[in-house]
Amino acid sequence: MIKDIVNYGDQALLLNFGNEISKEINKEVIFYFQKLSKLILENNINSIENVTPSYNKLSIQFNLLEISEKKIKEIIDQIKYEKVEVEDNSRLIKIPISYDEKFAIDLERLSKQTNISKEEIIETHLKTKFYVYMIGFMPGFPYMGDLHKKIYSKRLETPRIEIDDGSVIVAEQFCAIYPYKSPGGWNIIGKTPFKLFDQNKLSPNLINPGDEVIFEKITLEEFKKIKNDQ
Amino acid sequence: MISKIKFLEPGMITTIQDNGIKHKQHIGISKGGAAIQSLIKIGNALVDNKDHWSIEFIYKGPKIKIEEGQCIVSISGNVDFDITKNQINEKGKCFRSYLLNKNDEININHTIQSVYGYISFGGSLKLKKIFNSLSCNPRSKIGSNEGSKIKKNDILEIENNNNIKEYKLGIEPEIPITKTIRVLEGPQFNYFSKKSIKEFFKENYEVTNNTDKMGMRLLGKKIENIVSSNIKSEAIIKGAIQVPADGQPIILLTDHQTIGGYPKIAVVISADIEILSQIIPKNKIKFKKVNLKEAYVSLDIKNKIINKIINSKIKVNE
Repeated sequence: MIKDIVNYGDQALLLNFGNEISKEINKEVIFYFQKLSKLILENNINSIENVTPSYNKLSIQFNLLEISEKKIKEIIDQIKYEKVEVEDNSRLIKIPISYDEKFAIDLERLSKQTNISKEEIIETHLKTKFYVYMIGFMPGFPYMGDLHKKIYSKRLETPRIEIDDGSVIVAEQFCAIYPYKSPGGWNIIGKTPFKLFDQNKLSPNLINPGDEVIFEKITLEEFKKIKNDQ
Repeated sequence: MISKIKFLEPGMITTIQDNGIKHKQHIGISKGGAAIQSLIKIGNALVDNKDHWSIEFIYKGPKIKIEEGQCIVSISGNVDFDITKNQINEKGKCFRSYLLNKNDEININHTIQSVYGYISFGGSLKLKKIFNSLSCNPRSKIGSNEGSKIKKNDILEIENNNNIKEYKLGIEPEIPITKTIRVLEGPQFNYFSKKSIKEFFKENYEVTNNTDKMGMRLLGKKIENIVSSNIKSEAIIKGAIQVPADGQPIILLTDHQTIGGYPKIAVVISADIEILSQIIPKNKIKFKKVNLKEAYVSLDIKNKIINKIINSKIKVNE
């Protein structure tokens, strides 16, 4: 249920679905996002320029010269549902990961910080079925959760200036993958040879909001082979 | 007819831009596009171009040469430039179009007391669109031209629209002098102390050098947060004014990131975004709080003025 709707500047509305970060609330945000996107596409509503889901909110950006806020609210009123059909949302995506020490540069420190062996951290990471809360910050960057409490970690005090693309990173309850080289302050625990974002592809991003992700361990040799075959 | 434009010098940050990329913010791509939409609208009207695209430059622009064919060209903004026709050099005039022939050149020296300027051409750009747009964001490597800015000796091919008429404007756009930016309350307006909110609308804020097409960092009276300096990350929009823990505001501009986790004290009204984007560092700005109705009316007025300017177009030799 939408808890409240507020104006966000003069060309956007912000719909609030709840106050915490939870899968349940986020699934409703994404369910609503998909319904609205379908409505926009079917009715060719070009005056709505972007619909952006986040943990617990959905923003609707529109062109004020072409559509009024009142009309946007009428479109919102058209979206009715009894319950959130979660199964429509998720795809399961398998991401290969190498935990080779060449890539997993923060694993040792993480192990000391949490008092859990490197092997156990890896095992816990592999056992987790991640849920993709949202994509953002940079093109294709997935915010995934939730990690097991025992391996929660803090961000680095001083962010690194450059992190390789494909780096798999963790901080607090979240895990993410860098689609591009970037500065960053999360802990690096491995690397995937997969390309997360390619603007020339029909579906440019490998991972979508609402997807589920599991990691599959590969060796350094397998990593190199997949990388070369791309 | 095809004409070819060669970039003898690329300029500082020169990119291909149009109305931007729509419907991709949910995968991390903000709309982007030309920072000053009204200038590419006027620029394209002067070259009779229905295809709404232009070359955007920042401060120091490119030096271009017609390598092949002929082409109608216009420069929009507050720009100092030279034009060389038939080997005769003259100072160029903004807001009029020029018919250029093979080997003619335009040299954009610099923008005057502003950030952005535009070159518009009378034809369609022969370049693959990405996400149905020609816009390009070199920082995230997204968009046409492999997401890259224009490099030295790059050549663009233009399919001419066969217009060879030169136009000027009967009414020229006014150069804005105001440094007062009108804003609406942001979604986290009540995260800040009453005292700080009062000061936010009273004090001057300096535009720092740490400003680009993505955002504008300001320096001024520290804004005190009384709730939390982090929020659950939510969508960012152009004009949102976020306040991180250090209390110094950052205004997100055209190429803003798609989501952000800092509370937003205010949002710049759409009618004032272009004026704000053109303000160069070291200038001081002031914020004025308005209501939604004023924001709507202001945008409507601004749009009517632009249409009036476009409709004042006349042929140069008449």
